Amino acid sequence: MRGWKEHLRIVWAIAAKDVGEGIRNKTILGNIVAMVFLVLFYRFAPVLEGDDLPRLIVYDQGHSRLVIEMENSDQFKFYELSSLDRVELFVGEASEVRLGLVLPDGFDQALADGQPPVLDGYVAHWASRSEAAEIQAFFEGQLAELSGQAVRINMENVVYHQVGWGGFSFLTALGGVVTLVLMGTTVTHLMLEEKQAKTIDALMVSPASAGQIVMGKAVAGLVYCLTASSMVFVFNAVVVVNWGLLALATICGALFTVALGLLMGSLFETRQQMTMWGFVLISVLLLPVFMVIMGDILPDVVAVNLRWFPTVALSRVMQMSFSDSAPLGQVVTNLATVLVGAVLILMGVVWKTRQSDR
Amino acid sequence: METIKVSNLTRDYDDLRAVDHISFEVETGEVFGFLGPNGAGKTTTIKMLTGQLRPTSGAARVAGCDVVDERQQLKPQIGVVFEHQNIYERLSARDNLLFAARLYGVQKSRVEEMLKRVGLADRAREKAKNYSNGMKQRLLIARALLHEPRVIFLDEPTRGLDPNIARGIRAFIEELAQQGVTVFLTTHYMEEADHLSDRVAIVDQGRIVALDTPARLKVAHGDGEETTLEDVFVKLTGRNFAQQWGDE
Repeated sequence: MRGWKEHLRIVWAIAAKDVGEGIRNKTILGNIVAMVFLVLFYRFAPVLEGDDLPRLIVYDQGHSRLVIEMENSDQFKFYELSSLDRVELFVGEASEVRLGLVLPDGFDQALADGQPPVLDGYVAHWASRSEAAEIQAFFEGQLAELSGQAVRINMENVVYHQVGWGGFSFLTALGGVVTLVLMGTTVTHLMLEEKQAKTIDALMVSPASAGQIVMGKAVAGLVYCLTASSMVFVFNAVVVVNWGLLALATICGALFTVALGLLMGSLFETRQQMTMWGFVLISVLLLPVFMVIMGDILPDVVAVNLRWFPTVALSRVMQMSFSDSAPLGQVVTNLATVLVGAVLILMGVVWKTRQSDR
Repeated sequence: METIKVSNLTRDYDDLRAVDHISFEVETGEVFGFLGPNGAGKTTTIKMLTGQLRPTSGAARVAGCDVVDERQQLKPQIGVVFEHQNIYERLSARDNLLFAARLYGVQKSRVEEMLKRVGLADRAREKAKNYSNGMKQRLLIARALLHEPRVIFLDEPTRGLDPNIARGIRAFIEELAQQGVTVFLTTHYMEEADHLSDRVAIVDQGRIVALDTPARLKVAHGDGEETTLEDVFVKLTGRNFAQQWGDE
């Protein structure tokens, strides 16, 4: 019992020192500021686009003449797609609130009869009630103007993000992964600083063992990772459907990136090495996450195998937490991929630490 | 009673033998000067005795603990003032000591006590990076003594310090010895070693070439009453330097 208390005291002392000292570290602060800038940029990028015309995405089942009127409207942007799935994709991937609409077969006849049906409208799940009501009212008005009759839109169809889609939810997941990777490198900075200032020597003659030093750094790294990623998700809370799953994914992701930070910290001796190899490593980790949304143009063998990349798996679970469906099998497989990655890297850290431990 | 007991301690770095079968004992409360030219193996020896480096062969016990097999038990028994001023420069003196106190499980009140003892209480809240070399050195000493170790290793503790600070540190070392702390001291200042050490070992190329009290060394290796410890040191180790200088 006393042993465990002492163990925890030492690990916590190192972690608390690193967290406190890290806040005063320009490199770490720079990482945090860059991350906040990144989050704010993609969160508010749609606002900066300047084009605020509402978007209408239509699947016309019966070749309605109204489509031509819609195409010619200068009050909104119109897109006609060939299936409901495509409409959902177009609505779900958007960074701004769009309305998906299905014009049923026989719609023109119903209009001619003076009994237009209630149209099925589709809106992204993250749109607020007021945003949905606003776009509903706008397009009911436009349709009434174009058709000369009152047309009602049913707004109960909500489009949830699906893994593999791009757009707002994907960017949020990407932001989460980027944040975790960036914050994971904080651990490398912490370890490099100890080596360069030779304070590691003082730690090594203190009651702290090599394992406790590594654990202390890992806890500090986890604090940074979890704090920063929490900021990302709080900024983008509207997309989150399953907070529990997101928290689980974030913790597993943080373990992975912190393990990676520890490995780099144990391998690198200079800041130059860290800068050069860190850049390569971050690129290798993040590139596949971008590549998966280009699945259509990737060879099948690449697209399938990318799923086993820990950052891709992490991004997939995060995206599942933005969706209404998170199949248990897929969640477990993806989380296991991330955790296996973390364990393999931690084994490398333990091996390296034991090697350098005298 | 010996606090440090070293038997045939050896350390190789690839093809280089940094420490070569050295043996000595240090008594409790003794100030033991460990002198030698650069690269003689002083720091390697300290690293082995403090458990930072595994010996290639031989054995050593410090404060009753085997430096290889009982390293964790050894750690609370020793304090080390390193050759480099390895403090956390972004932290204040107080925070540096508080961190050490947490590692060693020492009461916070001890931190204030040590700050006063080394004369840093007034500037304890300042970031250590703003400190002068002398203040940093005092902070290092305070950190090494915070947990009241039985043995303190001082690796060139007065290097680069002005005479006033150096004198203060020497007085501190004497005070420690009087309190029963065993002091293992390396220095390039022969007068300092002569003044402070009960005994000195002179090492060269990893081997102990002389070990005795300064007075007896001067008699054994000197040319007369005016012989200084520096003369002895140069006589025993300077030949190599002269050769190297000549070679270059």
